[in-house]
Amino acid sequence: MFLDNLMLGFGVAFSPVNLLYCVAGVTLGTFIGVLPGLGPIVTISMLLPLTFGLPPEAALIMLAGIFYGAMYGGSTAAILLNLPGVPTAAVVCLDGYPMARQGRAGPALATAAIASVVAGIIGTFLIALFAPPLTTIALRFSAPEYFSLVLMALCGVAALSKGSLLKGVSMAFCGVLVGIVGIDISSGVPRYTFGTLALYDGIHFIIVAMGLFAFAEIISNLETHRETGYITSKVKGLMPTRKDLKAMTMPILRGTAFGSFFGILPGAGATTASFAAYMFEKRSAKDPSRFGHGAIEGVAAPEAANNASAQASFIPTLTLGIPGSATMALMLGALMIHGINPGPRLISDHPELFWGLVASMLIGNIILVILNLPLIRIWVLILRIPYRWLYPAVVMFACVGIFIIDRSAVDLWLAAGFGLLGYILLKLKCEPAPFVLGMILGPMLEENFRRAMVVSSGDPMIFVTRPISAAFLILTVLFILSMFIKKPGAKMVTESETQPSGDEK
Amino acid sequence: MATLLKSHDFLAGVIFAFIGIAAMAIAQNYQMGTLSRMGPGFFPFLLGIVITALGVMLMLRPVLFAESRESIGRLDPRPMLFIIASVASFGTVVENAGLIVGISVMTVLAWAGSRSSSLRELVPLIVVLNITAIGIFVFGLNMSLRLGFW
Repeated sequence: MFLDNLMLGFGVAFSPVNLLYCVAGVTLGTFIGVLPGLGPIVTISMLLPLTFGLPPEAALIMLAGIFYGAMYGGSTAAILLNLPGVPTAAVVCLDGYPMARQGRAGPALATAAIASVVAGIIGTFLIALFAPPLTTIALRFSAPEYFSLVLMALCGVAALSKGSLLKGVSMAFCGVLVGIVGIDISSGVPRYTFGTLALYDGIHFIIVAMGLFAFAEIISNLETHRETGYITSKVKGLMPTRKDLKAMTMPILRGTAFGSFFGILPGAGATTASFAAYMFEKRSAKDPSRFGHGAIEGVAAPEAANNASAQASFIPTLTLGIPGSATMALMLGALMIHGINPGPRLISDHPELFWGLVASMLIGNIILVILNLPLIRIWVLILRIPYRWLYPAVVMFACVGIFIIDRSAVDLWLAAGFGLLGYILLKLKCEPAPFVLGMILGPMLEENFRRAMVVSSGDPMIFVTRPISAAFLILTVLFILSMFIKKPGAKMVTESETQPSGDEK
Repeated sequence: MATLLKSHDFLAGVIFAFIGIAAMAIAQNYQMGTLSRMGPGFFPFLLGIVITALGVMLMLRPVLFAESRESIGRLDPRPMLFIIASVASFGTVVENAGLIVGISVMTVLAWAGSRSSSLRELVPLIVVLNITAIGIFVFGLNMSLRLGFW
């Protein structure tokens, strides 16, 4: 059964079109990951309009490739330039850059590549193993369970992202509010549309994503006059020694475990996973003082965690229809655009999509390694592109992409408005990720609340009397209580992160 | 008192409280219904209450806890104004004058948002972006976009 599914998946993944888009996605993802100032969320939201014409498998394969490709690319910049291309690669700077300074950039990069591939392959098998059973459990969910689950996911994202929980939860609920804008399905009444016809269908999440992430970040970067002249170090001798290989094995496996665990949890993301993996290695090492000065475990574990969590985060998104991070929310949005309803039925209704995606992740990870090791010199060259050439291009792609959604100038005004809002929120240290999640999950929250109340004839205790729902609510309360416990090492993360905004989880 | 008013938490709290109250006020126009048969206004009203409450809590944080009183940094109006203008104007310009003019105007405005932009680079930037956009969107993806005002 399991093998049949994988065979089906490989059949889909190896089709020339899908293979092409897999390569394209992985390459583009690495490129984006290497470049600081451009992250996977921005890229994925920019490319979403472009995927309209593609078959859903190809679109999803490419977007997924961008996602885990970016994870890998980010660490390349982290190792070579002490600058994480994506915020999740920040931890890799700690030991990767010292390794490069010691002339060991090659083995460091190779370690990152090997860790990524191994974690990716293991992660893919985990998805294949756990997604179907999870789906079976999820099929027993009904309105109260979904309500509690969504609530938990929103609070989880708020609790586990940077910044205060209070702000995160507020952002999440504001997102829910924005998600409600438009005609109410149950009653046909337009809500919060201020009389504008254009808002009747609600605000497209791409517009919000581009505004809050792409434009806000560009404004913020321009404000801090990002300098673009970097010092690079020479890369020679890619092969790690046998001693290196031996040293990195267990960290890779442990990192994969951390990554898979945190990836499935809504809210926790690659950053938490890679950080936790790093701290674990450091604490359990025989000589912790090596860390920070070029310990190979310090590169292997976080890299494995990064990639594993990227894959694992697909599980709740594809099986439950609950995205655990802003990027996954965008993937969900991409599915919805193609008319596919995410949820427990996804695997049974669209097996070629699910298994094709899983198989493509396996292929994509291998392509990552093959493609990237020789291409490192090119990435280093690309890093020399000045930001002042890059950001107008981003604005252009974003604007045209938004315009082609509905050919409406109103969409651009809205995007500009959200850009302004995003900038103000950045200044006020409010995280945009919970907002996007709230927006996408908002309708689900309301609908399930309504239904649960109809079923229980207005008795709110239904959420607590049903066991699964109660379990989710307990977790929600735990997330909220975590606000009162100081986040250990949170200080350390903000010291090593050099990106002004946190757009990736 | 001044530091209080400028702290992240306070300002964010004010904004959230405002949004929450506005949400509640507007929701009054829709039917509420009962808990077991919710009208369109019920959930938004509930949301409004929650958001307002959270906003007020945020506002109180710097009052009660000293370490919450970090103030926001300086705001540089230039990138903000130009990027916003660049994006907002794009749609209207394209609708009226075509894609090429639209991209060009957008580029000029976006370019102006950076302090390190040089005049020499502006024209090549406009040309490259136009070619890229037309190449990818019009030819590559077969979108029919009006190129010019002719």
